[in-house]
Amino acid sequence: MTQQHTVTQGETLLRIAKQYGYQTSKALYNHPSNAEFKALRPDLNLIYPGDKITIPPKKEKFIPLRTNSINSFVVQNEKEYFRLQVSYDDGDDVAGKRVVLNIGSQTIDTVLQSDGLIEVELNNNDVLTGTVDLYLHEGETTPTKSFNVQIGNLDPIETLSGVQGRCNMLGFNCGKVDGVMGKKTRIGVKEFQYEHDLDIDGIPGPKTKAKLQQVFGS
Amino acid sequence: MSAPHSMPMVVNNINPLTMVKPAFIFMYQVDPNTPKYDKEQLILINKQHSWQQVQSIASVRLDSTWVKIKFTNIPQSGNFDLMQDPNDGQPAYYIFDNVPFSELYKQTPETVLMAEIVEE
Repeated sequence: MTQQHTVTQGETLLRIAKQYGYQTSKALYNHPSNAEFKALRPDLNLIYPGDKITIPPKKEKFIPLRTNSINSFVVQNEKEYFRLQVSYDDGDDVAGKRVVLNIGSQTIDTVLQSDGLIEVELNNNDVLTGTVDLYLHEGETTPTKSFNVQIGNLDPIETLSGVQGRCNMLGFNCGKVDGVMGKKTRIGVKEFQYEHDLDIDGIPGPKTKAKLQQVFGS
Repeated sequence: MSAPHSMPMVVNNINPLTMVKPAFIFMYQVDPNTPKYDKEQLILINKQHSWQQVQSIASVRLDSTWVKIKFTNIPQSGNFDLMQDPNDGQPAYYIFDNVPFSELYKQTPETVLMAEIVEE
């Protein structure tokens, strides 16, 4: 029987799929019954609380097997990743900077390469929250910068919280990601607009959002 | 060190994180029609640390009428004065004075000016 799932904060499409016995996010995303959802969310990694996803009934498959020979089955097992790319605002090289990630049950203590990219395969049953500690000065025993991460919580660009989250990541401080247009958010948006040759009004209109999405990459 | 907020991030896609070095960023509008406007200097002063930094408008990118002045490696305590020096023989004047580090970002009327303090 067809069911409907309403997305809550922090859920990912793969975890929703697995909750209903599907092995891949695309099994839901590409199903014809979710065409409207797919049009609304063109990036399957960016879903939003309140989104409605149709869960089609699982069909039993009958596969003819041969006797006296090997029958091979490939089980699709989609993984989720956390990818973080660290850079300096002035273009300085980040190579050699130590980063400690605590994501769910995993601790990754690593050193950045010059591209600043870290990739972590997420454990299926882990919570998608954790901490990132950055040691930017040589010999430091306490992190220069430390923050909490909530993977799967970035809101779509259409929302003010989505704008705030992206601006904060890119170094344009909008303060708390709360969907409220306060003074800090206006200043952060103005700074972003200035840096990218947009009209400086502090209002995240369509041009600002489009540019922010392009610069952030999601 | 500051860890004010949780960072919402996206799964699978790359999350770009830009580290901003300690700086006081000050943006304001100038009138390019004023004679010698590009000679103007801004001076950020911290008496407790016997520190000051001079930034010239001519040294920064001018985008229409907006100028972004960035003071880098600023002391992270004590009080600050910001002076505007026309650098044309006329006296300099205070934009603000005796402002604690924690209050820097609040200093300018946002309709015309804006400022932000960022810290590592």
